[in-house]
Amino acid sequence: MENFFGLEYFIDVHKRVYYIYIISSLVLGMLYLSVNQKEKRVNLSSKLWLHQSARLDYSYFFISNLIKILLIFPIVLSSKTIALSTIMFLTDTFGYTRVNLSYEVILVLFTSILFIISDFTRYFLHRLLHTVPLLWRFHKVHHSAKVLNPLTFYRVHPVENLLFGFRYVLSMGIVSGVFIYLFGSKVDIYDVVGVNIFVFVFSILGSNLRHSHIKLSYPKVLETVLISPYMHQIHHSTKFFNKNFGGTLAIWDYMFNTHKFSKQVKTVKFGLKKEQMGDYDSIIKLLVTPFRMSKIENQ
Amino acid sequence: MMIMKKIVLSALLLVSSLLAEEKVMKSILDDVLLHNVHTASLHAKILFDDLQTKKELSVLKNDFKNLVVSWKKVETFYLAAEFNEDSIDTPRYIDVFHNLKENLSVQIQRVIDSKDNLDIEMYKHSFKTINALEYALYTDGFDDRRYELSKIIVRNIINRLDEINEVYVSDNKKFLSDFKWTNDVIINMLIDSSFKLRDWRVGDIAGYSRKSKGNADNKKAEYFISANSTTAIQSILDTHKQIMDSPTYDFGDMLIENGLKKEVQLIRNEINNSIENLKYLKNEDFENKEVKILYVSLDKLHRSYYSSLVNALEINTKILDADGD
Repeated sequence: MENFFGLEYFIDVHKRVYYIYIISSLVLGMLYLSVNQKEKRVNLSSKLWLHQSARLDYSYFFISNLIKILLIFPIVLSSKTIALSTIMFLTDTFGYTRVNLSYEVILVLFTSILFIISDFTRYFLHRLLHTVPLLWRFHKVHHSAKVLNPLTFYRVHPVENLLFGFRYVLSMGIVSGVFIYLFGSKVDIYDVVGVNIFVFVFSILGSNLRHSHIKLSYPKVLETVLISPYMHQIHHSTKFFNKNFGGTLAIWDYMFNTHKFSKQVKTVKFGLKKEQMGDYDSIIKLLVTPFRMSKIENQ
Repeated sequence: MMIMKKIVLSALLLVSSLLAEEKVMKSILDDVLLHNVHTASLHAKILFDDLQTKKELSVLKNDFKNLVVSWKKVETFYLAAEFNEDSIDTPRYIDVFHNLKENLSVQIQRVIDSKDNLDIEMYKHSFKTINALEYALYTDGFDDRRYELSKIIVRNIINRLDEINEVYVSDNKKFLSDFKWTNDVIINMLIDSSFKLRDWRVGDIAGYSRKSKGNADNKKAEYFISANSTTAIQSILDTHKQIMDSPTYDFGDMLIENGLKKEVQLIRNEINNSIENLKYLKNEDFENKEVKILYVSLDKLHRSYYSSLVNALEINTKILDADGD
């Protein structure tokens, strides 16, 4: 029953709003505000948390969850099917093989490669969502948030959910398939409570601050490797939609010239162009606007 | 109180699951690994005794067939290399199918034709294998020299089987204690064997494998000379059945208890289907189109092993939230 209300999101370690990640973000946010007292007023203001855009995020969170359960999950292929197809393709193409490495080496290789490939495909798809006009129509739903809060993460059109679902299933399935083909049953993943150790660590390090007004940035050197919460907020700003597409790692932005350091941007203003905002101010509009051809406008 | 109950229940489940694993591994060691190597050794000794007493060729051929059956069981589920790395090459000293580039028949014929001492002539490992024995027994002119040559080969096979037995007896500690590792080597071995069965022993000969697509050739069959290839395939499938679908609690049952009921049922079905479909391999004729039915079921068996492995890995099928942004 809790599935239908999205409540399981808060107790599922695979979800961005898992309570441990929320608590860790809260702690980090409080620490940040204790040092940056000036920002306290904005961040604790009811105007921010009860802003029309925020209220839309809250209600959309429940509705989009229903859509995912009823329409999207049944469509997305299982990564197991992809893994099995990959194994059989490799066996039929290159013959049968087994590479003999220790459990420890395979564990480290599989866990890290899975994470790196997954993060890269996330970057790549996110960039496509911005650069392909047809896809941008759907991704605009996410960028239409005028204020940010952790649930803005779920302000995503179902078509985008579907695309990310396929991305996840393909990258996970192919990497797993290649590893099983090479190492057989010795393949295992290093996890914490069932989640890839890297995903867990980065989620606990304030992943929920990405969609917030806490301008937490990292030292410059670290920001060439990791996306800080403020770097993602820069991505949400009206001026820098085409920067910082990265999920966890910033190296992809750095390599493909879409990188923007926190220090380079002093102020950010979220949302779309003023004249477009009216097309995204209700649940129905969030779902329907991307399909209305006459409303296509590239920003 | 409720929490206490849960803890006790979980502990009991864990203990019973460990006991079940221990029971299965002990059973695999005793009833499969050691049993099969003892049977092969026994068959080799019978053949040796019959060679020693110069029994007629038909008796020797029957002994050879029994040896093929029992040796295939040892080879199919050969874990000695996992028990002890030094044993990695032992099967190649008994059987060179798919492991020799030279033409063994020509070389063995040369040894037979030679007048030199056999102890000197039989200097190559490949000359002392079951494949060389097949040639000696099943080609024309079984004379005294072939008797002697066969004895050298069978003596080698007996010694190698003894070595395998010794490894199973002496180096089994890890197998009976590190169950994760044991599970892994068993599944890997079954996948390995199912691939070789599908491609090496049927697909390559019938022309269905990637390597030999369209080029069927009965001469490539494992025991083409003695016409024991079907027997060998049957024996390999029986070994899979021994591990996955035996009348007693087996490895398959253990996997079912670990949540892989659907996958194990599929594997069992495919083993039984493949055994059933052996009827399409009539008179060792792999070129017969009906062999495709057997090949397809062996392919399904191979896939079903991988499928159980993929499912056992619990690859997360959920659409991770770490998406969108």
